[in-house]
Amino acid sequence: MINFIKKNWFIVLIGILFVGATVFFALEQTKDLLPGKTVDGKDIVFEINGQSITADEYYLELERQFGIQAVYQLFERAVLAQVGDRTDDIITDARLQAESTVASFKDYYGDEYETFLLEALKGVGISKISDLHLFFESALMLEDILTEYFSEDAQYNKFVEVRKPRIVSHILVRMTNPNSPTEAEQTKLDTVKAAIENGDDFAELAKEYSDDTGSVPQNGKLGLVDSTTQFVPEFLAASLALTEEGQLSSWVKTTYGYHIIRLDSLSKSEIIKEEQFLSSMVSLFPNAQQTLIWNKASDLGIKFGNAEFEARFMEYINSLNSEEGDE
Amino acid sequence: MKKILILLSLGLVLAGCADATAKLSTPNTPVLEIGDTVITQDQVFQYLLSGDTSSVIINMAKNVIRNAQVEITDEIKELAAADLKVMKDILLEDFELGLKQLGFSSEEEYVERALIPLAQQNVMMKKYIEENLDFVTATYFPRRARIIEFTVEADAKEVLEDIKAGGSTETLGKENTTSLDFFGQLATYHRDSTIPNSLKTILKDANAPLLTQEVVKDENGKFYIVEVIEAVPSRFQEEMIKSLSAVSSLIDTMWVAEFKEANFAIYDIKAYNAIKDGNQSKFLPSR
Repeated sequence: MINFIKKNWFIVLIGILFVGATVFFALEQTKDLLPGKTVDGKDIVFEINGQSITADEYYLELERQFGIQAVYQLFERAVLAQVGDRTDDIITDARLQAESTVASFKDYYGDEYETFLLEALKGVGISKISDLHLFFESALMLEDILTEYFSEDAQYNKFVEVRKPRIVSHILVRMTNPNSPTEAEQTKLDTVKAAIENGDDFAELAKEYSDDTGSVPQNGKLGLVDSTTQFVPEFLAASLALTEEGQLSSWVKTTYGYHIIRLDSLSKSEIIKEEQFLSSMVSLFPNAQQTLIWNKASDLGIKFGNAEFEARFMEYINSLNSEEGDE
Repeated sequence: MKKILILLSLGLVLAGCADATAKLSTPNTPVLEIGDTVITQDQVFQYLLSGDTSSVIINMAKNVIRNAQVEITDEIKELAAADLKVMKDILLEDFELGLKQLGFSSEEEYVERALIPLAQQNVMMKKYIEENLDFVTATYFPRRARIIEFTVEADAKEVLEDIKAGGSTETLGKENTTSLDFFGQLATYHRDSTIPNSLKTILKDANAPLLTQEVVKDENGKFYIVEVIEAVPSRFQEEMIKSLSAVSSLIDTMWVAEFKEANFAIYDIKAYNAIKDGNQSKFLPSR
């Protein structure tokens, strides 16, 4: 051994220096790490006053305070994962929505966007930004399932009976004081009236003359309107009074000016495609999501870990189902 | 050569170590099964950990200290019962709704998880204030005083002259102000009381009973008369302790001291970060 060292002293020296550097590097990496602790084989989360609180005890307290809501979120996702149709469109849309959300946070919060985004994601049980697309996938699958459910006759017919849904468009001639229009305002109103009476295309007229900048890009289309839509009363009443597709209202005076409204469609196949459809149905059937998820879960088969948890979970389910809808 | 390689491997392994994470002892215990999916305890745990758990950790730690320091005697239970009665008298028919809004499913749970811990904390605060009297009185300058608030300067001046002439601040306050907060009642005030800063300065500077010789105008355009009845805290210790026991900054100071004395130590990086990020970093042990 000594002869070996004498003969290869330079290599041995390099080896010792290398080992020393490695150990030093390892110690530097670990010196600031949080050490763990176990007692009787159980991991400890914290210790105070000589008493150790295990991960199990920590979990029990978290579960007692927030567990049912957490399990319900996981329950819903598990059901959707099994009954939802994870189409290519959903995967793509979800990814786009995730990217758009990240971009929005970056724009608003700058370099610190991750902190704020992660804080916002805490409420939906997501701890990594890279998992955000999964959240949107679940949401989109849920939308599809709900739309399918709400399109069934039982639900849709009640919607029609209670809310009178329709797709409408309008043309607005804005006036500072509708009771006393200016000359210019009156001229415009007269021009539009004449064009309407002449049978000119409503969409073209809306594009050219309407002062409602929000609907002009869609040729005056306001989308789905029903009895709960937040319009001024005169406008809403006139919209709901129309009975045939293509029918025009008489001119309606509101605080904004004068409107003429067209009933575009009463068709179910078109109404269910409108973006306001889901929110309107959810307000009429606030328990629908929970009922639907529960029914699908029942079809799949549900088994609880223990009776106590089952009782708490069912109490939570029943509380979700106890909300009444707005009619 | 073999030993050198072993040492090198050890070094590399050490370099790959991370902060500790506390794990459940039975992570795969099923909580719920739906179809072919099993939701395990660990999945629920990880979901819960993604939220703000700092207050849960701190409250669990406080429970350990509270229960070690203050036994739940009949007296504690009676204090909790008295607080319960006060809550019920205030909320009346809204009491049940109030409980639900606070997150309690029953009166018993509210007493056990809120009122008894509060009674225990008050015992701890009393002890803390008594043991740190100099610090507490110097920092919070508690005073017994009567304050009368006016919206009209002339009214304030007139009442002040009446008090100087020998009139009772208490009686004149009740008769001459519409203020519901400052009508000449005897109360304990301190650094964190909700009173104008100008009045806090007067109280802080008062080392003996005094009556303000001029009407005091505050930054919001109201007018005050201040009569300091007692400036030596030891002469109204019970009232001082009762008043300061409810001061959140002092309660925090007490708890930080207790956590330090109890050698609070954390062995899980998520718990550490939760406390740090959840604005509870004052409780964190140094690393």
